[in-house]
Amino acid sequence: MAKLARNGSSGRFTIASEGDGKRATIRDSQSGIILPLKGYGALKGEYAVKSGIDLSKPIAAQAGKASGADPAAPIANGAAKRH
Amino acid sequence: MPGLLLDTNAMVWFLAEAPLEDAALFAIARAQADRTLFVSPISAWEAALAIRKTNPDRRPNLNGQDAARWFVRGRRSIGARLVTIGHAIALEAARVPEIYGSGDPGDCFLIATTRVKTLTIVTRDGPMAALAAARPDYLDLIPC
Repeated sequence: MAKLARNGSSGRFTIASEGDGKRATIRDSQSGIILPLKGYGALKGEYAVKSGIDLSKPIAAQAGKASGADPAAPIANGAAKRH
Repeated sequence: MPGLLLDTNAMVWFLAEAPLEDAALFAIARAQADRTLFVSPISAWEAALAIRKTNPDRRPNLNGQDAARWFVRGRRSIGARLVTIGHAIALEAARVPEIYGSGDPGDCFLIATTRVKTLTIVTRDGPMAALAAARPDYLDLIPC
């Protein structure tokens, strides 16, 4: 098994992967617990997020700008604005 | 902790094996083992919106797959349960902007879901992280 050791901020966790991501595990060095990371990388390469999408910002607003719609328009009086 | 809700960004990056915070990965693995990992249909909606971007350089590459197929395959791959959005979540979502300060519908529904279902959200969303830091009683969050 090819192991990919990752150093988190505390160095507490170690991730091991066989490469396809489907058999990845993560180990907590403090507790000794090893858990499978089911599906980690399962769709790798199939949903490549390009630079234009900033997933740390509201997606609806970004898509709305691109399409001309504005699904993230301000909500008024507790109800979503209709278009 | 009753369970974890993956924000859309966390779901996308987890499935793509993108670098995530180790503590978040361990929390996800534990939730998978406990069968308390959830995703929302809002993530399918957000993925469908993301691929609507007209510039091909600025939208996700699905290799010909649509958002529905990606969401169904992705959810199955990670063993996440689907949250049902009922009227309680919809009504709570309408109240979220008063606290959150943003009316982004995706964020509002995800935050409302965590409140109604008593879930912790896993996300890299900056405004959500700021809300959780300011109001930990309102939103429980694990940064990824």
